[in-house]
Amino acid sequence: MSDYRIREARVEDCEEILRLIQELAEFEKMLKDCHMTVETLRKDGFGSNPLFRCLVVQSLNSDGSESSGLIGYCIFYYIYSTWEGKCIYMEDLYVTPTSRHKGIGHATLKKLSQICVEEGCKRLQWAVLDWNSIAIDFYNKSGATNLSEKEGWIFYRFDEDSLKAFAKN
Amino acid sequence: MADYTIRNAVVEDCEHIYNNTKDLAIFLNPAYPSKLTLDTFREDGFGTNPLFRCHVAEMIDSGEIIGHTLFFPSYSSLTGKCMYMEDLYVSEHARGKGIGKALFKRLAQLSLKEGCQDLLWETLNSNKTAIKFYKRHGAVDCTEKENSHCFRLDGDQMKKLAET
Repeated sequence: MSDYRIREARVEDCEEILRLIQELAEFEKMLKDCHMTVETLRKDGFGSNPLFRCLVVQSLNSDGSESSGLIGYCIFYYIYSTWEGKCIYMEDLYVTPTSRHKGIGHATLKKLSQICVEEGCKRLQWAVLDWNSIAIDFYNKSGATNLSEKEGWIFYRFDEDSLKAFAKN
Repeated sequence: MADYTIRNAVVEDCEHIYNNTKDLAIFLNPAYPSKLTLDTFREDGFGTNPLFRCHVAEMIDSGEIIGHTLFFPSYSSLTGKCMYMEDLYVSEHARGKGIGKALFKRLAQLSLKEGCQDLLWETLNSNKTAIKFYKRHGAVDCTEKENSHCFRLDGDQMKKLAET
């Protein structure tokens, strides 16, 4: 019997999801850019028009009941490709360090792939930092392609300040 | 006074936008043409549960659609609601008149109005004209600055993983 379960997040998971978001942000050296709050997660993920979905990894007690605290999560949302149509973008995939090497990351990515297939999504897409060699190895083994390397795709962003400056000029 | 106007797309614009997306796909990656059909595109953008929205640039006198943006909301676990721009396209014969900037600016204004923290998109590193345009307007190359690389599981690989 598995000692964890992957399930859809519930609104009461938001505090734990935020804790894990902050852990991931710290690892990615982006904690200072993390302004997410529990209230925003609740409103944006569990309100009348959710902007994202979330899978969470719950550890289980020996009797199969859920123990408190989450050990991983995956935030994703729908995107559109003018090449293929409806797709999913995986914003975050994270397993807490003490729970690694049990196949949880693979199981979560697999679960998300199943959701993609069931819902008729043509692609699953995400971003990785190029120094995150552990993640890159993991994704390469799962059969994913590094499009930045293979096809030369690069990400661009206007943050809020540059967006305001551009919108005004 | 401009000889074009920018407005929200309506279903009657669908075929023009679809043809433009095909042109853009060939320009960006001639070895990988778009697989999307017009019927799917119409249903996905103008059906009961639209997966995307578009702005179009239209010539005032002729009504010709000479450019478009295609966009949808996205989400950052760091900052919240964002907007993702999938396409920014201006027909070849209409370039050099500021239409691209006007379309881009309209989307930036809409993004702010709808409470988006960031506006995001991708481009190919070989598309020097586009890169110059984006940098000129203050955009950040996240791949350069933050070492962010784009990964994908396409349909076959996704099914393979789902079935393991």
